[in-house]
Amino acid sequence: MVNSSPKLRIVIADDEPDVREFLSRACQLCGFEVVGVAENGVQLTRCCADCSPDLILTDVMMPEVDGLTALGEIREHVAIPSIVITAHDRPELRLQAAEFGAVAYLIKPVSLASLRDILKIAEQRVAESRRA
Amino acid sequence: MTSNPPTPRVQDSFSEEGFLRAVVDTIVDAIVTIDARGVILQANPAALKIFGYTTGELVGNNVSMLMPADIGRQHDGYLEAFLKTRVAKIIGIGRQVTAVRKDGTEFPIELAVSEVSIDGNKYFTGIMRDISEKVRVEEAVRQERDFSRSLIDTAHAIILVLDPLGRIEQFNPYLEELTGYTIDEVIGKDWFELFIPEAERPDIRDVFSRTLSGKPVVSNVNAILTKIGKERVVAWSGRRLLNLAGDVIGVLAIGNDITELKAAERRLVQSERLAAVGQMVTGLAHESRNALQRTLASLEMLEMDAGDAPDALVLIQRAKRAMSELQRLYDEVRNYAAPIKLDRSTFSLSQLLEETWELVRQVHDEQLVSFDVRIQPELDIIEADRDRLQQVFRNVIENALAVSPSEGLIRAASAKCELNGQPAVRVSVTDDGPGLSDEQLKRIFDPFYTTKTRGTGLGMAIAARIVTAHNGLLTADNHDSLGAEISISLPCQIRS
Repeated sequence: MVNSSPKLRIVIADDEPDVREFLSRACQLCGFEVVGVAENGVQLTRCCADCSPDLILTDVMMPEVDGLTALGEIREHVAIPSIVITAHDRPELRLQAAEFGAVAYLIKPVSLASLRDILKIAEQRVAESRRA
Repeated sequence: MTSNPPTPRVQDSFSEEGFLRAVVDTIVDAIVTIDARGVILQANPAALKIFGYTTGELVGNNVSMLMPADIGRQHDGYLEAFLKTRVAKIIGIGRQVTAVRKDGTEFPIELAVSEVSIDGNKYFTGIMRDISEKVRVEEAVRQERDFSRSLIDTAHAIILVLDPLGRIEQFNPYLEELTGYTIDEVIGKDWFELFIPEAERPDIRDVFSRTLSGKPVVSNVNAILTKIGKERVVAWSGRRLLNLAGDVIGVLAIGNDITELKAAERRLVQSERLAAVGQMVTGLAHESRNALQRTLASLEMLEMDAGDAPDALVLIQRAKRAMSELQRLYDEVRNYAAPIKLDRSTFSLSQLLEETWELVRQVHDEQLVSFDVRIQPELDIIEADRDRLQQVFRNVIENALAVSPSEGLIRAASAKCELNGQPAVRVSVTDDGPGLSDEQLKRIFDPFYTTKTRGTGLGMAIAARIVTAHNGLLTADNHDSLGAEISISLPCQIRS
């Protein structure tokens, strides 16, 4: 599971504790390192500034600042690939997510299996962007 | 008949003659006496008035002056013939003939002629009554009757007359067309037994009795049955019919077929309900998905922790399956409630049907059922939303496959038809399963109606919505040799 390259460093944001825990454990199970966990957009932005992760996993609807707004703010400083996981299936949200560097837009509920597949793809993207 | 004409009693008594004279002079009927050559000898005041002549203008002239020229020319001949053969055409009989006034206007009269013989001389007395008014009234009545008849015959409404026992007396062509019965098949039969669905019969008989007792019916809505047992919804107005003596002789009922109107009303209510459901579903979307995510998150973590407890793993799998079924149902409801936006393109119907069959067969490859597509070339190319239409065909074909016997055959055939006066293509998918029950026929397009043990009951409801969004029509029926027949009618350009 752990390959020769350094573990991918991930920040997770969701306002639901159950979901945060699940996403953290799923990422660890897939061999990634969870370097930060946020409950809202403000925390997510700060987290990213503090730990410069390789990948962001974020919810959209969160208190204070939502996930997409946070992604937009982060984008202004640094380009970090992200996976958006949300209950909202709206074309305009998908577009905005893509604009802010999301590599995937998942509709809840997301299973461990599908998360594993997406993380694998994201990992390849991160590796590609590093080589470039 | 008049071979032995009555001999008039000629009285010379002054008083009697004076009396007769007074009668003749004051009578409203015209009395003209002529001799055997047709020469007028006498005319009473009523005759002068009716014909517009003075005595001097009439007496001494031939009576043919009072007749239309063509008849007048032959009158002398008639007289001669009668005197010779004694075969009467008018004399002693009386009939309606045309007379001519001095001013040349023709008018109808009733004419009675009697022959008088005095001193061996033959005379004829004609008694004439101007029946212009009577004829005019009769004509007016006839026109009125013709008008009523043509109204009854051409009205785009049901016109029905029942006798006081509820038996059919009048049944107009529109009703023949609507019900499929000819008037000869139903006249004299009990209306209620033949046309009213059993469940509604007591109520409708009640309405009929009230109408007979003098309470007119306004907009009473009930179903009637056609010859092939289909129901039509009719709004009735009715009142009792009385004869001149005031006896009740029946009930006149006028009805409008509001089946389509009712269906449109239902669709409107349905679409309003859908809009409300749609809003609700959208509102629920976020929270439901979040709740599902939390459930799944917890189950996934439970699974990670239960690594070496096989019984627990089985239970977790079951819970996950149940959850994903809930999710599927939820997605279908959302799909059903969401507004349908069409992405139209031009494509071949037969190709789409074949492709859809392949898709369905991949999932149900255990069944040995064949699929026969026959779309007429001129109806094959259609402009529609291909994916949506595939969804419709898929639902229809899956349903057909589910009821097909082993080695059964599902057919898809086309026919030219009309939708709201526009050319359309009807694709009928038939199976050789057991056919649809009355209950199924009634409810097949209702959301959440299903006869399958696994299924949301939204498939056909969504299919109907998609077809409706194309301004088409989705209908269900049984075909002649049993089996269900689902027809999808879509507006199209017929290619020559």
